[in-house]
Amino acid sequence: MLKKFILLLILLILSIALALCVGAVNIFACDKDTLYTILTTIRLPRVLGAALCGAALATGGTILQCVTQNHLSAPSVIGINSGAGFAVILTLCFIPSLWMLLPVAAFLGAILSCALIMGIAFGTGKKTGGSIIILCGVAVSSMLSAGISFLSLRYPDVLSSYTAFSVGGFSGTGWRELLIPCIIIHIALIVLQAISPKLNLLCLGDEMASTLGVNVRSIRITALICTSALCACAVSFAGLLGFVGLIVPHIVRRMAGNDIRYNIPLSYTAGAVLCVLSDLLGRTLFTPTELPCGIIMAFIGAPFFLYLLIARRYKGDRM
Amino acid sequence: MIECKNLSVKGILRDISFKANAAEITVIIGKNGSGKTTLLRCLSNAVGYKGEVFINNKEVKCYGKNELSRLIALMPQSLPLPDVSLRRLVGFGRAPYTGFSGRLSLEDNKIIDSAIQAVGLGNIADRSITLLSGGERRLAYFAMLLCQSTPVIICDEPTANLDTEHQKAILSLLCKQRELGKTVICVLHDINQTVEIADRILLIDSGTLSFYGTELYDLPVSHFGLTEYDCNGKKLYL
Repeated sequence: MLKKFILLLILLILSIALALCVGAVNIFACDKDTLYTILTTIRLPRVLGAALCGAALATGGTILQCVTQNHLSAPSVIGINSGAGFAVILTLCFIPSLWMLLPVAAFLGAILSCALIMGIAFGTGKKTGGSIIILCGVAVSSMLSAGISFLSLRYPDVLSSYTAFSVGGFSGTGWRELLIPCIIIHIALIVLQAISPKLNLLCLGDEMASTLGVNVRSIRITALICTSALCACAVSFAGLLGFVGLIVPHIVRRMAGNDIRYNIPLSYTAGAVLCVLSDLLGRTLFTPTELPCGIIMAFIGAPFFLYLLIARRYKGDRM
Repeated sequence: MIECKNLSVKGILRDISFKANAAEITVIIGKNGSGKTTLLRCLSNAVGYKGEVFINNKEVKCYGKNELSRLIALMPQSLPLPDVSLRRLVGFGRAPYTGFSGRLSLEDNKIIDSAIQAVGLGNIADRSITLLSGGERRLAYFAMLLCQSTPVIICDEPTANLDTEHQKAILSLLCKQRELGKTVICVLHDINQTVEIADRILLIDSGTLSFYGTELYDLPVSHFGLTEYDCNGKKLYL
C-alpha cells in the first residue's frame, strides 16, 4: 500500500510540476518578474485548487460508497450538486450584484441540502441504512433540480453564468478562494481517517458491525457530515465537477482493495492527480480556447469507467 | 452466563425467563416468526425490550458498545457478502481489541491464523469471501466469531442451507466452544441436531416460552408435526 501511495504522490508532484510549466504562456521565454507573477498569482493557485478539489471529491466519493454500501454513490447522491447549483442560480436571479459571493452561496447550498437529506433520512427511524440515504438524496436532488430548471426558464439571462458554474473548472481560482476550503477539507480528512477502522466494519452490515462495537448511527452521521464539508468546500470554488467522486473510488479499490484506512490517502492523491491532469488538458488541448475541467473529465472519465466495468466483468469480479 | 427475567418485546415476545450457563449449549427452537431471532437480538442489546437481561450478573444495557462486543459474539441468520479476503473478514473479529488505529498486533494475527485453522479453511485464507461456497462462508464467519474471543457465542440458525458435512462441522465447532467453557446459545430448526448438542432447550411458541428444560424427552415433539422413532436405542425425529 505504501508503495502505491508513494507512486501516486510522485505522480501528483510530477503532474503539478507539469501543470505549472505548461500553459498559454511559455514560461521559459519570460523574464523573471513575469514568470513570478504567472506562477504565483495564476498557475499555482489554479493547480493547487484543482488538486484540492480532486482530493476532496474523490475522498468524499470513497466515503459515501462505504457509508451507503453502494458503488454508484457519488457526492451528487447527498445533494451536493443540486444544493450548490440551486443556491448559485438563486443568487444569480435575485441578488446578481452579489456575484462575488457565489462560492459562499454554493457552499451554503451544498451544506443545507446535505443537512436536509440527512435530517429526513435519519429522522425516518433508528435504523438508517445506505439505501434510505440514497433514496432521500435522489428525492431532494430531484426537487432542487426542478427548482434550477424553473429558475433558468424564468430568468434566461442567468443561464450562461450558471452553465459556467455547472460545468466546473478552475479558471480564475485565487489564493483567497482556497484558504478556508483548504483548512476545512483537511480537518474533515483527519476526522475521516480517524474513524476509518470503524467505517471498514460497515461492509458487514449494521447488525454485525454493531456487535463488533461500532456505534453505526453515530459513525454514519459523522462520516456524512465530514463528506458534506469536503464536497461543499470543493464545489464552492470549482463548480459542479462530476465523475471524480465516482470514478476515483473504483480505481483505488482496484489498486488497494476495500480497506478504507488505505483508500482515503489513495483517493486523496489519485483524485488530485486526475483533476490536475484534466485541468492541464483543458487548458492546453485547444489553445487559446480553454475547456472546463469538468468536460475533459467526463470525456476521459466515462470511457475509462466503462473500461473498468468491462475488465471486471471479464475477471468475474463484482463491482 | 446469561440470565433473562420477564423479557418482553412489544408484539413479538412475552414474559420470557431463562438462564444459559457457561460450558453449556442452549438451543432455541420454534416455528418461523415465533420470535427466536428477536430473543437473540435482545441478548446482544440490538433491540429495545422490557424486562432484564443479565450477562455475568450485570444488566446488558449497562455495558458500553465495545465492552459488550468483548462479551458477546453474534452470527446472524443471513450473512453479508463483502468483497474482502477470508483472512481480512476473520480479522474483523479482532475489532473490539484493536483500539483507535485498527492495526492488528502480532498476537491478533496469531489468533486469526488459529481461528482459520480451527474451521479448516487454512488453504483458502486469501480467497475473496465472494468466491466461497455457502458452507465455507458460514465457517469463515464462525472463525470471525472465534476471533472475537468472547465468553458468550450466539448463532442464529448456523446450519441453515448447509450440506450434512458442513452442518456437522459447525455443530462440532459449537461443541468445542462448550468444552472451552463458553456460553453457547443457538437457534436450530433440526430437532435431531438439537437433541445431539443441546444441554438446555427453549421452545418459543408465538412469542412465549412454552418449554424450557434439560430433559430432552419432555419436548412436545408433536408441536413440530414430527414422529419419534427409536433407531438402535437412539431417538430420531422425522
